[in-house]
Amino acid sequence: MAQAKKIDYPALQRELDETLAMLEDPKTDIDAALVAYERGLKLVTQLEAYLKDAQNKVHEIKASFGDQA
Amino acid sequence: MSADIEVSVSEFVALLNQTLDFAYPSVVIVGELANFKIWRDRLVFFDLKDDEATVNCFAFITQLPGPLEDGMLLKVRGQPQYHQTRGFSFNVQRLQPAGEGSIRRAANLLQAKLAAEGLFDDSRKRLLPYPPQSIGLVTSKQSAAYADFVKILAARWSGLDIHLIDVQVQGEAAPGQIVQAIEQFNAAAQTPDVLVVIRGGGSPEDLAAFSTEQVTRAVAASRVPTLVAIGHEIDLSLAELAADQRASTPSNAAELLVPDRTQVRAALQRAAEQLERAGQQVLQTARTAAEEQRVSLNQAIQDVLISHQERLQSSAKLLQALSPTAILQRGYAIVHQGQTALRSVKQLQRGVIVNVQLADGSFTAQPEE
Repeated sequence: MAQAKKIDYPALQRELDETLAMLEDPKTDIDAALVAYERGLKLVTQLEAYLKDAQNKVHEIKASFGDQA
Repeated sequence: MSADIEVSVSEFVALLNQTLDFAYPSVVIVGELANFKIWRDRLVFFDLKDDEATVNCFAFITQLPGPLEDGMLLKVRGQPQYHQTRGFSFNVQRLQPAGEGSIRRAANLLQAKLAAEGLFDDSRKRLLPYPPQSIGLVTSKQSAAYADFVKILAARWSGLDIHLIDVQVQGEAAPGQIVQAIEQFNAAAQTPDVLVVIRGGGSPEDLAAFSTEQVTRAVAASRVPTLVAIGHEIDLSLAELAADQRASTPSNAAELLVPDRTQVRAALQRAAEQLERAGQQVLQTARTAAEEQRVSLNQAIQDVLISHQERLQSSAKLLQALSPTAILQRGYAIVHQGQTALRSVKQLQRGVIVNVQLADGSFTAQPEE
């Protein structure tokens, strides 16, 4: 959870959008595209982890209020 | 044979009075009131008469039980005396109406007088504390009225602090004792919540004390709220008229004074049940609303998460589609010369080795021509 708090989700989301836009641009050269692609995968992993943490946190909060749903 | 006694007029009067004192220290005369006169608001002169004789009487105004008028039958206790200048008179010690008609007439006159003063006005009536915590009781401890009153109080309510001042409720001493008891309760450091004056039934003469001016005024003047019950339902004394509240009988006084605990308990029980039902309903409504809100809340957070997950999945899929290595799978190659990826053959230099990357590996090549 502590790690999840450090992540600025909207900022990472914006960066992923920019990365995708860069990859879609035909003028982007192959090396830059490779770097961007790698960064994009990393961002997706981070964002997935963040969302997974968020989902877990929702479960924890619900459980602490006696809601098993 | 004894010689005649020769005395002066004054000596004769003194001798006569000595004889009268000895012979009639106190005598009660019953007769009709006539020639009733009040002199300088202090002294009262009147005659008592019957068909054949008349007696001059003298009294102080404070001895009157209330307003009187000629024709009333009076019972007068007093002492005969021969006054040095005014002649014979009957000096009144106590005076009261006699016979039902006169008693009623005297009571009516007194009632009219006190009513004119406003003693019986409804505007003077105060509410009795309900139920009171302490009761000042004025009655005879030996009476059935006392026993009934206390018994009914105990049956209906508990925790009452009852202070009794035992008084005579009929006879000559009664009015004075009743007034004194009322004043004593009013002068107490801790006055009772209510003052109750009761007496059981009796003849009009028996009840007369409670229609005297002094008792009526004492009841009216009481700082402590008063409840008075004298005799039966049909008897109405002036003290009852002056009281804040009247009860028809001593038992009725007890009923008016405190609620019946069984009725109160039943009413409380009903109120408690009603309260609980209302409370349950409020709780149930709140519970339902909270449950609905909980569901909405859960749905809302799930929607947020799902929306982000969908967006992320879409981005990941796009990223995969845009992967540069995916192109190699289709048979393309990437040619690097040093650190630079070549986009044109014009960039090739003869003899300089390039690195050619395919999907499953890479090799070097040296362009010749």
